[in-house]
Amino acid sequence: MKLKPLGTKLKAGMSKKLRRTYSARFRSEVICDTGDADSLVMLGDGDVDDIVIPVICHHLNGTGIAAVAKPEHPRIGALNELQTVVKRVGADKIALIMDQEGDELAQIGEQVGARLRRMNVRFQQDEVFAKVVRYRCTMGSRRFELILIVSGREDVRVRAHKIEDHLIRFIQNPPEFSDSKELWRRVDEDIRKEVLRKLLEEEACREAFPQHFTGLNLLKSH
Amino acid sequence: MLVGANNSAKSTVLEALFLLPNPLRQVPYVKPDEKAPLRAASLIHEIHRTLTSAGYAFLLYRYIAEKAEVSLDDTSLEFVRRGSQIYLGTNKPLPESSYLRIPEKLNIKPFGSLATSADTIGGSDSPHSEVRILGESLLISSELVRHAWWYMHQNWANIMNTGITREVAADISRLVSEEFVNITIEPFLGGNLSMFGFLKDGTRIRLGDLGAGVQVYITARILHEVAKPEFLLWDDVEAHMNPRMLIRAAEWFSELVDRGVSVVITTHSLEAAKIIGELVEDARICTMTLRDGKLESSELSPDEVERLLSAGIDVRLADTVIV
Repeated sequence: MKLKPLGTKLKAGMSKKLRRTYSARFRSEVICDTGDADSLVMLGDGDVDDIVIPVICHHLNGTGIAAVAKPEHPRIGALNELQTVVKRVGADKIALIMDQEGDELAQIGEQVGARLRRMNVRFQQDEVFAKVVRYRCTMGSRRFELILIVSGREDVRVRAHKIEDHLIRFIQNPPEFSDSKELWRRVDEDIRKEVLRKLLEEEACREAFPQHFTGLNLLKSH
Repeated sequence: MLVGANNSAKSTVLEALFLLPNPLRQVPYVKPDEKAPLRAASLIHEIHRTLTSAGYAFLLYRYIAEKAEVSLDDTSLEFVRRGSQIYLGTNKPLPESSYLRIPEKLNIKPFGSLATSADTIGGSDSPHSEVRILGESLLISSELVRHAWWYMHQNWANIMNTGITREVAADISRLVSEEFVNITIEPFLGGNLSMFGFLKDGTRIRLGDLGAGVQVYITARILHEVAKPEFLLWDDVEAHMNPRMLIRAAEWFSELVDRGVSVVITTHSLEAAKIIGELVEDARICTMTLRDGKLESSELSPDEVERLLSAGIDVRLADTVIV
């Protein structure tokens, strides 16, 4: 699956990171400049999402294109403009990727549900995988699926779970840490690059990001 | 406001609207090297000219289509190709004397013609250049500024007497650090004529030495006074424009809209679209996409564009996913 960035800053940032970490060729294999997309991925606000999600989508194969956007407001705030997005963007499936932070999953589910109800969206939800919830939504005459993918790993002992939880498992002999994002920033750039390159191995990437693979794969199936 | 990727036919829409009243009419532009007045079709040809290419086949899809049509509401202009000629027809009734008498059988009654591979226009002595099937339209582009200056040079007495040059000079003075009182044409070095901004202290600055944004704004204001169009069409409105100048241009658009003029602009700048959307009531933004020669567009309000931006979606990059 290729990604078509819908924001100028996101597009420039994603292109730069993919070229620098992998290669210009990999960038052009993953990023799509033209073409139609029938699904939308709304990224979290961190730097890591920009590089990890394209790699996961690359592993998911397929010829489809997913549009990708980075909303101004992070986490649930990304849904602020959902009505306009659903009305104006021709995407039947929308994936929202957000860090779990210190919240319980049930709490996040309640917040998403409350937000959808406030926007007069009728929905049915099912947890298709740990930390992946699919909301089958109806807004007026429009039907769409919202796929919530919560980043963070339970096997990482931190108070607030973030997408960096998935990366630090590749760091050998990490120093003491209480926050995976803080640790990710603290380690040497060469180590970060090495970890990101490790993600090109599909099996390792799948093991590290199971909910992301499952959730993003839902964008492909009809 | 037409927004879209490069090559998404934004300029083509403006050109079509510019041709619609009558491609054969004279427009306020003059070809600089020949000092010859231009007709609407010739001006578009000037914009499209590539090396020594000639003729109007570029008006037809892939240069070989048999027919093209431009329609706005109930007004339609047809281009029908027969041999080396493109004949012009319309659904609007015209005086009998406007029609060409040609032996060929066409499904239109032509009021003029354009050659496919030569720069010739017309067909007979019929008053085809006087025909109007729609109100006047005026095309503005920074590319055409020099063509406009030569028109002004040839029609300066009429322009001066409208009072527009003083008005524009005062307007520009509010936007730049110099105080202009008028625009003039006077001898320059060696006795050659030049257009000047005439400053309060009596000194002069050639228009060509002013910033490109100032040049195009002055030109647009003067040509508008001359042509008094019902449709003002401005291609790449943000080109060379500082936000201060753009805001003034948007205020002018707002005044024109209030007076019943339709203003259609193209832009690659969301900042420009926001400024114009803010200042012009009921402004609409159309995203445009060209797929296999077929034009698709979606209309959004400036508020929707802003909301999408907040969701991380820039309509300029999202043209193919906007519905």
